[in-house]
Amino acid sequence: MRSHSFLTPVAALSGRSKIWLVALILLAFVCLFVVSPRLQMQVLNNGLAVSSLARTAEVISYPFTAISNLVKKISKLRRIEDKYNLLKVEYESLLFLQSYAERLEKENRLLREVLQYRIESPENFASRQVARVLARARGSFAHNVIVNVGTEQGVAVGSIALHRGALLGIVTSVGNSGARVRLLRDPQSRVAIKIEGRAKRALLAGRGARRPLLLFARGEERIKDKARVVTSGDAGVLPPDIDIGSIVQSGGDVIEVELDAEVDSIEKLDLVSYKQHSGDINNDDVDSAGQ
Amino acid sequence: MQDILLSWLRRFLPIGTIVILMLSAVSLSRVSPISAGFLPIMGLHFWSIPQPMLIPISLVFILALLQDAIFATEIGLHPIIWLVFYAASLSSAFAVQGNRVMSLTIHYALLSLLVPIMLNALTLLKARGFAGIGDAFVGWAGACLIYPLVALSLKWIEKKIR
Repeated sequence: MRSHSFLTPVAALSGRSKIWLVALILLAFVCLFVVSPRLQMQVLNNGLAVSSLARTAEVISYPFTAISNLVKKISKLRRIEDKYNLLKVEYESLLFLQSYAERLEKENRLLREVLQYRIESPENFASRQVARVLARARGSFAHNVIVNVGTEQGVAVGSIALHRGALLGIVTSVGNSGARVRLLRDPQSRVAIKIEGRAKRALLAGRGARRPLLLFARGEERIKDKARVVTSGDAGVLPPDIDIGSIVQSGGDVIEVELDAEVDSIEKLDLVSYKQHSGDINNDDVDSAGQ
Repeated sequence: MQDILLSWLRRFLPIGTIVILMLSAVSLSRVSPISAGFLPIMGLHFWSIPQPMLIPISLVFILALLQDAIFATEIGLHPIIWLVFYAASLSSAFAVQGNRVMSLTIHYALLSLLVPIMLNALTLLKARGFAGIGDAFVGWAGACLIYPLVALSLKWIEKKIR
């Protein structure tokens, strides 16, 4: 073997090697220009060769794939870090907004107390039960349903029946595991109502028909068609501002109300016990609200 | 035993590294298909200058045929390019001053210009069309940038085995 000199002379190859070199180049030319493309394709597309090559390539490419995946993961981590920083800023901003909202809520509550204005919210309901309708009475003289919850579940006489947030009726009698709900259509049903957003007050009276009537509408103001009807909260039997339905002017002095609650097809309803407001106002709160 | 093993390793190191570079080119071809074709030629260049006797001409021919199979090019294309490059590399080895990476890179950069030229010339002869002159030269430029890294790696391996 020759020495490992980096200054290999031009004539490093022996005469025999030079002949070999020329012969092989010629052979390559023959392969390229003489051998038919079809035969070439057969050699190249040999199944065994291709699968062996694929397997070898897979093994060899493993470190490259691993490096590529690592680079991808690092760039992904960087993106996550950027997002994290962005979210951190947003979180700080949201925290500020939350404290601001809490302050406003407190101030709002205190001002309401000062004005003795009450808005009904789920926190005013002492308990809430989902009841299944077991039986229903429907006719000119009675409109009521019997449900599967009673005193054991916290239901009492006077509990309110709601369907999708709209008033359906009031519990008139209750047993251990069942209760009767008098619907708004019942001829004995009377509910104090008001026209939403106006001072107009009236009484909603069931009459055994689909639409209850509006009685004793007080005030000079004319009631418009499709005006919203909500509970007034007068007398404290029902909480104020619970949806009931909308006005339907059927001509003359008769004013009917189309109920929001789907009474005919109802299967389940909510029974809630109304927690009456004590009306007491904390003097400290009033002072701070005044400030 | 260890001496024998080392002696075998030294003997087959050039061919082994060329084969590894050739197979690595398969992976690299997903990123840069044209530069990938230059990868085994880098090994051929690096070893042919200090140790031409360790790379027999017949093996160069066989490896080039394997390269044809790997890249599914027409049989005979790479053997012509490789053998001409090998001959040119040996003939101009005197120009390399020592085994410094810089001089090797310059030598490789000048010699490997033959590759895109031959590739296009052979394609023109065979298929009456070019193989993408611009692409071939872009591949050449990419290979020139990669060469120092390959040369350094091979030098490191050689030093470890020696």
